[in-house]
Amino acid sequence: MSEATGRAPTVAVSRRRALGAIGAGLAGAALGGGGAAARAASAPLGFHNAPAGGIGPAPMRLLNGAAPAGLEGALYRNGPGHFVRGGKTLGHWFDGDGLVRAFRIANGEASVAARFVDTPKRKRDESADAFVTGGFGTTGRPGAGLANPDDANAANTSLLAVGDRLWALWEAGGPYGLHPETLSTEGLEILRDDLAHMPFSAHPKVEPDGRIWNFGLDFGAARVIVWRLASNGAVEAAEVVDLPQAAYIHDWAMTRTKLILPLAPWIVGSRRPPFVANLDWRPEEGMKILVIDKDDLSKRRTYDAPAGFLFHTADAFEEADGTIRFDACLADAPTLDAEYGAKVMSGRPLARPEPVAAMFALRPDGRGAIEKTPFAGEFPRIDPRLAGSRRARLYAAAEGAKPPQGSYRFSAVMAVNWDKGEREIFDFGPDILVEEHIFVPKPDDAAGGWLVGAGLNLKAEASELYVFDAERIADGPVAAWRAPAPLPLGFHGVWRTG
Amino acid sequence: MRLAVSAALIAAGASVGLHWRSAAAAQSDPGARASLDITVKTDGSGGAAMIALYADAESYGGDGEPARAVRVEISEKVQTVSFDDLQPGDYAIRSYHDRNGDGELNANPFGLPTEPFAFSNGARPSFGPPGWDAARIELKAGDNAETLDFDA
Repeated sequence: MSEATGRAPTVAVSRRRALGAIGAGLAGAALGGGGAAARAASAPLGFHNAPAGGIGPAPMRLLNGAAPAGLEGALYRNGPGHFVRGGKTLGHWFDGDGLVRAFRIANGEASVAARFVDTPKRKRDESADAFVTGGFGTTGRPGAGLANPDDANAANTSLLAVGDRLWALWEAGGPYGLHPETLSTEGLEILRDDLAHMPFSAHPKVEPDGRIWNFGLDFGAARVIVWRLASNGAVEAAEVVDLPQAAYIHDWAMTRTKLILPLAPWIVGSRRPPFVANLDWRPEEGMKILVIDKDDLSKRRTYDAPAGFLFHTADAFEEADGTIRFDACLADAPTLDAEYGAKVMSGRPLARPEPVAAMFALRPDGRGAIEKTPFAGEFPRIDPRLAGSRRARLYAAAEGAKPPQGSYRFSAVMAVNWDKGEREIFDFGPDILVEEHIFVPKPDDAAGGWLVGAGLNLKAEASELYVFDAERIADGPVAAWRAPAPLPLGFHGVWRTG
Repeated sequence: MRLAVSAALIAAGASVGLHWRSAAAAQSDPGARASLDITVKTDGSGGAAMIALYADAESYGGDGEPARAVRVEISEKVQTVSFDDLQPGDYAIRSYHDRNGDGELNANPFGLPTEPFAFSNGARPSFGPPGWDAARIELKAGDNAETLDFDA
């Protein structure tokens, strides 16, 4: 596969820096969580401990614009919320206890609430006042009593709406059920008795009709389980699939008929924590891309590609001639390895590989190509109505013209249009750390939709909520609200209407 | 990510442990004998607790048979079972709660146990089963007590 950068998109850029200057932050003290005084001196904003009891629900203050008519529901987001115990910082960003945040928009107003997922890991670490549970990049304490992966489950990476519940997802164990109104933890979901403690990744793919597909990586064993669930979470099938190499896999992609597992040459050696320390970057081995038929998982094809690393895909689709395309945020090397995953929590500037928006093409004759843009970003998303279908746009948090000074570099929102070969960007400027923005379709089958996402205003020391018209990203948010406290930076979310 | 003891390792000790040295063979020592009262804590969900008592590190590690073994039908959350007429000395227990009563420690497709298990001395696995030293208990002449908490 050759790397093609020929169709370098032209750039339609609009930079604005309006929101950061609007208004002073409300004091966070009323919620017990905000303000520098409440944070450990060593913990920078965004990587600070959230209050143990969570925050809110509390109203958010409208900064500008107005909630669009028809946008009613909640953006639920998950991400690590506890970084320092007993004076010591976690070994890796990915090991913080899951903090689920609900940003609700109703009747033109917004509110925020957040609660920790009540896991055995959190209970054990809390009672020890130390990070005794081993994890992705945390060594843990010998004899911590881990009987199975769910004893170390941080439930901290993403969320899936299943029936009347939310599932808080990690990647090496099962989902944790949460009540979507109270955010209270209902417990580990055993999807089927004989599949207890099997891994369920943080990136399930949902077909337009609601059927859920996911994989779970047997870390170090060159195999995954492929899950197929009904929209209500009932297991329809679960099958073990062997991989060509013991690669670490965080995310995958799905067309109407195919499952695509991108296997970066980040290869697992030993299985003892900290797991990330066992990952060996072997660029000379290149990337392998495994394509599996959804109807018959024994029908597999492997494509060879140049070395590269991706945490996240946007989506995948097939073209009439059988070409499979998927887009992703692709870097030259792992972006949060053992070193970066620890250092990022210091908040200090960190030179590390940058993911950029890229489109993979896998041709029926076995060849392929990667079209790499110069546009740095992460947390790619699409219009969920177009999952598995040909579509032009990828949305992501992006690097702006003048990135923030700290370890987290995204301060803009972008829409890459693959058909037009251009992108739109709205740049908040270096004082706002921009998190994942997700596409919320307009109701009643209307065309278009909104991008809804969170950010952390470093000057105001408060989290913010933004709504963009997905067709007009460069115009900036059509509505923005400010929370009365800063929340740690999160990873992934889900929108629930109503 | 394999954080746990493999089912095979536990099963090697526990599930094949339904034969043991006869009491007659163990009675060669004319001295004082020991007994062990075991409190079995489970979720009370039925099935059986499969409990194997080992008298040395080798057999505990899977290379040899347990000194004693017992199957306890589970009907309540707290039950008791006893081993009597034991030679005083060091022992260790591997056990599992055979919830579905199929006589095996069931495992998921990646080999991790899907049924609860417990070791003596409150020992917990840490990326593998606890070793003999962690699970070892000393039985003195007379009465001894131990708790196996499968619901911990």
